[in-house]
Amino acid sequence: MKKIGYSLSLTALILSAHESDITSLLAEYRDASDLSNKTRIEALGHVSTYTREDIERYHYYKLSDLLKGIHFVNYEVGRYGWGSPNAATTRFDPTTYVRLYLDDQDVGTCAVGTAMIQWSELPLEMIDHIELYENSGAFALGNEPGIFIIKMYTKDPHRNEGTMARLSLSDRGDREAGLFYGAVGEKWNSTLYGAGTLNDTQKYELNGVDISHERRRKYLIGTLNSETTSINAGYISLNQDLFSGSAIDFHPSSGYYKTSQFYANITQSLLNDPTFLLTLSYNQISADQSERGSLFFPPMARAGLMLGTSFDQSYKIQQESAFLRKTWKGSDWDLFLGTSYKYVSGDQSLLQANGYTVMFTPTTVDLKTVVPIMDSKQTGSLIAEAGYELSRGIWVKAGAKMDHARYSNLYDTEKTMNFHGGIVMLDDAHWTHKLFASHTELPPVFANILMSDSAKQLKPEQLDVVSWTSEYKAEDWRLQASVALSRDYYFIALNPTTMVAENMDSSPKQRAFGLDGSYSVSSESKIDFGAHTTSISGSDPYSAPNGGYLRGVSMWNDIDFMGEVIYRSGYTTYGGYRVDEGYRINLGATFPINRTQTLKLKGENLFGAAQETLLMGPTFTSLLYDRPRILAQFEWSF
Amino acid sequence: MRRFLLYFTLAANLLALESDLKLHAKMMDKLAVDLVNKERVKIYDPTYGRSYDSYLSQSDTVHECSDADIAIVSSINQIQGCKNQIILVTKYSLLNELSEAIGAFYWQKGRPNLVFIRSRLAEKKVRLNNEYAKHIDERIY
Repeated sequence: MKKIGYSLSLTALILSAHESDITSLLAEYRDASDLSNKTRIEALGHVSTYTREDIERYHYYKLSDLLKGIHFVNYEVGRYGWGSPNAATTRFDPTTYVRLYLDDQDVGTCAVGTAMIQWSELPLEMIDHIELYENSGAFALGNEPGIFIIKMYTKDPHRNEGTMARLSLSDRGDREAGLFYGAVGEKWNSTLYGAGTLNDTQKYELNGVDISHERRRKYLIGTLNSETTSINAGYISLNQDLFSGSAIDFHPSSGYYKTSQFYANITQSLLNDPTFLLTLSYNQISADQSERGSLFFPPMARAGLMLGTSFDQSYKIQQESAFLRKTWKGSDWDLFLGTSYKYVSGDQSLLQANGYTVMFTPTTVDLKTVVPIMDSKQTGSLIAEAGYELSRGIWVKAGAKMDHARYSNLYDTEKTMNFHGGIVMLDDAHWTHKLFASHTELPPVFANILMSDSAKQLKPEQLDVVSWTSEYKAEDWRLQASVALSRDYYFIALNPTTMVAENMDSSPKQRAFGLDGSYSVSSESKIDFGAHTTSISGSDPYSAPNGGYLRGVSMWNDIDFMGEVIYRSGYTTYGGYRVDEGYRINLGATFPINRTQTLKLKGENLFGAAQETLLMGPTFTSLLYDRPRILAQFEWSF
Repeated sequence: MRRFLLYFTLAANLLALESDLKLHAKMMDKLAVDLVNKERVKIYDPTYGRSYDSYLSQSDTVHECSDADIAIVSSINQIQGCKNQIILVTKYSLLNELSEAIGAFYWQKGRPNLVFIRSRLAEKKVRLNNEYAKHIDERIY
C-alpha cells in the first residue's frame, strides 16, 4: 500500500542535495515514476493506491486477494460462490454501490449492478496499479453512482514491452496460465492479455454433503492507444458448478452457471483538446443457468410452486452508451462537466421452473408470466464537479449528477439526484485532511426488478455518507484515522414473508472508525497495520463488524518475503445464527531464478482459521470458503 | 497509453510529471558521469528527447546519436547513426539483440532495474565503482 505519493518524492528530491548512490537513486526513481502519481486524484476521495510493486510483493494474484485485506470492507462470497466487497456489517447481493473501472472505463454494471461476478477473480498480472476510492461519491471518477470505486490501470507497454508468461499450480488442483504482451509503435501502443484459470477442483463438504464450485474462467483483454484515441475491449467467460446455488438445503443435486461478457470502449479527444473527451461504449453480459434439486428461488412461490425442483434461466443484457466530458483547470479552481446517454436492453429468452404445487401436482411454470422483465431502459445524465482552492492546498470540492431514466415497459420515469461535497487539505508536509459528504441514489438493476412485484415500482436505494480521514506522514512512517457515518434509505431486499424484493422501510445507520499505518524499516522492508470497528443500527449484521490486519514485506539476498494476518470479528446475525471470528494467515516468497524468470510461493489461509462465509437462504449456514492452499507460480519475461 | 492518460488527468498531476522528469534526469546524470570519463557528458535519449535537459547538472542531451557519448535506446532502430557510443537499452531482451549494448535500464515487477554485462563493460573499457557490484552480471539470460 503506497499512499506516500509524489509529494514525498519531491521532498526527498529536494533534500537529497548530496550525491546519491545508485541503490537509493533507483528507489527514488521508483517512487517518482510510480504511474499512480499520474492517475490518482487525491482531492476526489479517500484513496488507497496499490502499485505494481505492491501487487508483486504482497502476492496479490487476483483482485479478490487485495479486497480481502482492506479496512471497512468484508469480501463476502455468496451462494453461487461469487465474491464481492461489502461494507462491514452489511451484505448486499448484488453490491450495487461498488463500481469497477478498467483504464477509467466502467466494465459492466448493466446486468446485476456489479461487475464482480466476472471480474472479482481477475488475475492482476496485466494491472499496473489499483486505486480504491472510499466514501467520496465523486462523479469525476466515473459515470456510475457508487461509493466504493475500484479503478484498475493496465500496465504501460513502454515499461512492459514484450511478453510475460505465467503458470500457476496449487495443492488444491488450481491451474492457471496467463500471457501478457505489450508493444510500442511509432504512433500507437498496445497491450494484450489472455488467461485461463481452473479453480477449486476439490469439492467442499457442507454439513456432511459434498458441493462443488469448480470453475473455469477465460480472459482476453486488449488496449490500443495513441495520443488522441484510446480503445479497449475484452471478453470474459465463467463456467462454474453451482456451489450451494438456490438449493433449500444448500446442496443442489446438479446444475451449472455460465456467463460471458464482451465490452468495447473507444475514447477520443475532441478538437485537439486532451481534456475534451468522448467515449462510446458497448457492453454485453449473458448468462445461462440450470439448477436441479429442492430449490429456493423466491419467484417460484409467486408462481404457485410450494417446492421447486428445477430452475432454468438464460438472459442477455446489453448496454450502449456515450459519455462526453470536459475538464477546465485554473490556477485555483477546476471544473468538470459531463453528459451521458445509456441504453440498456434485456433479452430474457428462458426463465422457467418446475416443481410441485400445494396439492403436490407436478407443474412447469414459465416464470416470465409472473415476474417483471425489464425490456429496456434509457438514461440521460448531467454531471458537474467543481473545485476551488480556498488557500494554499485547501480545496473545496462539490459535485452533482442528475439521471433521468425512462423504461420501455414496467415503470414510470425515474429521476435520481446524486450530490457530494468536501473539503481537503493536501499541501502540508505532514498532514492530510479530507472531509466528504455525499448523497447517492442507486436505481434498481435488472436483477432487483426480476425479484420484485411488477405492480410496485422499486425506488432507487439512497445512501447518505459523511466521511473524514486525517493522515500524518513522517519520513518513514504514516498514521491515518478514518471515520464514516452512513445511512441507507429504501434499500432493496427480499421480504421474507412475501418473497418479493422491495424497498425496506427501515433505514439502517452505520458508524465506522479505523486506524491504519505503515512503517518503513528500510527501503526494502515495511510493515502495514490497521484496525477498524463498525456498528449498525436498524439491521442485524450480515458480515463482520470489526477487523484488522498486520502485514510485512522484506528482502533477503534478493528473495522477497511477505507475511500477513487478517482478522475479522465474529457476529450474530438474523435469527441468532453465529459466525465465529477468523484469522487469515498468508505467507509468500518470491525467488528470482535469473533476470527474466521468477518463482513465487504462497500459502493462503495457512492454518485454516479464516472466517467462514455466511450462506443465506430460508435458513443460514456457513463454511470455510478459502481453504488452506499452497500456490506455486512461475513467471517468465521474454 | 500512459501519455494519453496523463493528458486526461487534472493539471495538479503535472507536478508528478515534473518530478518524474527530474528523477529521470538525475538518474541519467549519475549514469553518464559514472560510465563516461569526461567532464560534460552528452546523452542521446530518443524516447525522452531533450525534455529533461534543463534538469541535468553534469551532462546534456543531444539530438543525434553521433554527437553523443552515451545512448539510451528502446529499439534497434534507435541506434541508427550511433558509432562507438556507450549504449544502454531500456528492455532486457534487447541485450540479446544488440551486442553493442553494455547494459539495460528497464522496468520489471514495478521496479526500475539496472544491469550491466561484465564482458561488454570490458570491451568498452568501462570501469564501474563498487556501488554497481550487484548490478553486474556475467551473462545475459
